[in-house]
Amino acid sequence: MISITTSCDIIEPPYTTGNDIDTTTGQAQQKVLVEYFTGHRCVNCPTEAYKLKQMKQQYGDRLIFISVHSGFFAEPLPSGNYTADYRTTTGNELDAAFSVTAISTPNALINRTNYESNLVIPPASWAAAIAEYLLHIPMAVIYLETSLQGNTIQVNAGVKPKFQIDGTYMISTYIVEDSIISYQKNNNPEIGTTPDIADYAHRYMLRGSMNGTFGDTIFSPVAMPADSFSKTFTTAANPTWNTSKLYAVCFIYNKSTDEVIQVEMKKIQ
Amino acid sequence: MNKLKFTITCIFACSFSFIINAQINIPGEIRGDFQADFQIYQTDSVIGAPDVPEKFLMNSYLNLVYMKGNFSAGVRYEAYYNALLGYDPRYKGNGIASRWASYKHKDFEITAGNFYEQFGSGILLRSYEDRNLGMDNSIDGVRINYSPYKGIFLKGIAGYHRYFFDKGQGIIRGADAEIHVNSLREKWEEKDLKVILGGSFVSKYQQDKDPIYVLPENVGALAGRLTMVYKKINLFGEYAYKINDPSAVNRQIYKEGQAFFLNASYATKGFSVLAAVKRIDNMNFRSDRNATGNVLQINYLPSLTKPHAYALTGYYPYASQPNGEMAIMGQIAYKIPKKTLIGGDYGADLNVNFSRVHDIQRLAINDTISIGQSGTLGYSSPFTAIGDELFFQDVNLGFGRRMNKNLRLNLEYVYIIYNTDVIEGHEGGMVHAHVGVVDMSLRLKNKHAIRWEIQHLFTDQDKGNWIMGLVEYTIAPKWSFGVQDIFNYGNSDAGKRIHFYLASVAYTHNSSRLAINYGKQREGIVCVGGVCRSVPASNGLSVSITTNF
Repeated sequence: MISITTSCDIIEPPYTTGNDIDTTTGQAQQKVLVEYFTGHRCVNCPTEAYKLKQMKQQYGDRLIFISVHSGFFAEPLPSGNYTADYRTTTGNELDAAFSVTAISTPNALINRTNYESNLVIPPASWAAAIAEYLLHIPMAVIYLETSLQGNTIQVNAGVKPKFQIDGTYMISTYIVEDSIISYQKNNNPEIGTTPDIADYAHRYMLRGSMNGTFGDTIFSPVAMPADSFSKTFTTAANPTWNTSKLYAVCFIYNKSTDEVIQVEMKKIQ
Repeated sequence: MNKLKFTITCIFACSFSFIINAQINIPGEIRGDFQADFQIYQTDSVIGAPDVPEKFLMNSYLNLVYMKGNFSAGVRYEAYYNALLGYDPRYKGNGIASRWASYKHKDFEITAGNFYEQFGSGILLRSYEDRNLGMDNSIDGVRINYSPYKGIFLKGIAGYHRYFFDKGQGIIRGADAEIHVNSLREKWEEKDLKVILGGSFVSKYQQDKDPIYVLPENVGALAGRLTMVYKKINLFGEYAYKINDPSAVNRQIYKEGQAFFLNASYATKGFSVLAAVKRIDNMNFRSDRNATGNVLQINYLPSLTKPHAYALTGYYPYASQPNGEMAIMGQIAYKIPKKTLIGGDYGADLNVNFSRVHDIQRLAINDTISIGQSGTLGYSSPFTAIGDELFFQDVNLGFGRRMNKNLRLNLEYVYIIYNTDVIEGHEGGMVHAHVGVVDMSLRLKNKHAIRWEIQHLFTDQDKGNWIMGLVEYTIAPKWSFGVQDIFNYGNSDAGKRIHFYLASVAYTHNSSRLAINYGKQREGIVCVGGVCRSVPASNGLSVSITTNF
């Protein structure tokens, strides 16, 4: 009993580590993809999105997040401030495949990889999972070129393995739109007005996929460091999109395990 | 050890063949139960039923328990192909969900493997299974029970929580002591005043991997409880305290947690009265600080509200708020005597119940820290102060009377105030709902009976008014047939004024039961003891098979 009762760690301020994460750049960096499942009617989401934005500031280009509006809290209302429908076929298919919002909202897939036995990672684990994945040695590098001609978006993706990679790997390219201003439910006065933020900036919102939700094969059954692979994707921009704020997010994942091994993001211009 | 291995091997090898034939010719005894629930889903966008790519989903469970003298062992197999809608999709695939062995010798018992346990009322530790909720937080580890002296009971546990088909991240350690004071001395046993004292300590360990916060890896909590019974008066109280435990649920605040529960009751023939109060402050306690939802809970915080049995009276159930609430409940039950105007020839039952739940009062720690700010103490809260925000209120009146030899009448009226924003976690405002129920059952002839219900829910909020009718015909003890319709005729959206028809048939044979339902089921919330899960709307055929052996 005595040994158990001594098992208490009472933490005194300051409660934060004050640690800076190493964000030094290099030629081949491991980047991390966060697919953040949210909805404009989710009252808890602004708080968690704020933490994600803070991490984005901290890690810069090495952290790439996509806001996937899906599930109950993304459903539009017939009237009022929440009539916009930000759900997408891609987002719905991802949600169905990985059962994300069926668990709760907000939640995230981080590199589509299990962290502490969870594929769907709750907000409190995001920071630790991201920090851990950033330490991985990159297996490949993605180079992106983007263009917008009229309303046609074109993305050229080049993939260069850094090591021998065995297995079937897929490449997916999604279109996201940054800083869409519209209503968002909120219950945290630290973040903004409650219960609604009228001019909420929805960051990196998923708008669709250029090659299907689950992408195309980029290499199989093996890729060597001497190899290079490339794909070109084209799609028409939806007239409702603000083309000046569009980005292409391209990632490679293992078809068997779903694990994302590298991701890249580039503004469409 | 060889004996143990042999026994477990036998259980595995024989598990399926003994579902039907329970009698087996090996030493000892095997008992068990089997349950399979499956549903064939139809697409129905009108009622908001989500598309089910598999079209067919199934949950199934098999329990086997072997007993031989002081030794017992068990195993549970579970299969989800995939989990039924409304259950956590992380229940996926199949496997051995739990296995255990236990040996008892006089006052000493040891259990290894998965076990369920509760200290006191559970506000510090409770592991249990409730399939209706998809809840199973069994502990996989070791438990020792020991009674060193008459009236003194000691328990010690250590282990990991079950986490679907895996284990949780945190290690749970705990000890509990309970003293039945009247049992200590023979001359005290006949005293009118009975006293039971108890105390518990629970600690969890989870590694700190967080790059931002300094997190406590060992979090301890303790509780004390007292039960006093004096003739017809019963008093129970328990208080629990937990040290700093920043978590996903409390948004990483470092405040200590507290819970207090007090229940007093008086019961005599034909009359009983109960009063209870509860206070919870930052008392979410899980073996994984990052967990949310109905997983990995170490403690159990029951709701201090009446659980309603009827479909519409239970439409707005209350779920305990672990981050803070203050609740009161009062209840009076009175048996109106026979041969009175209201009691008639058989007497009548009258029940009145009232409960109300508020937030706790939260005060800023200083001018620079906002209430609930992550990475701080969060707030302060005077123990006896009640917050302004109302979470829930329920006033209900029940009346039941046998009208004659064959006819019974039950009436119920419920008025509920329901804070959707807090209880369901999304906007919806405060719902005021009045619900009336008329439930009559008529015994027709030998073993045949018919029962019908009419329920009506009035509200200007949420989805508006609902009406429900149900007819159930029973041929005891084997058959039951039912049809029902729940109609949301008051929905402000004319396109959602939907009938939810449902037909059901159930057949019972000895200890086995087959139940078949076909029709539409509306979305709703299922709660047991203040723990809830949301169930999406569905349309289709559902079948449930259960058997015990």
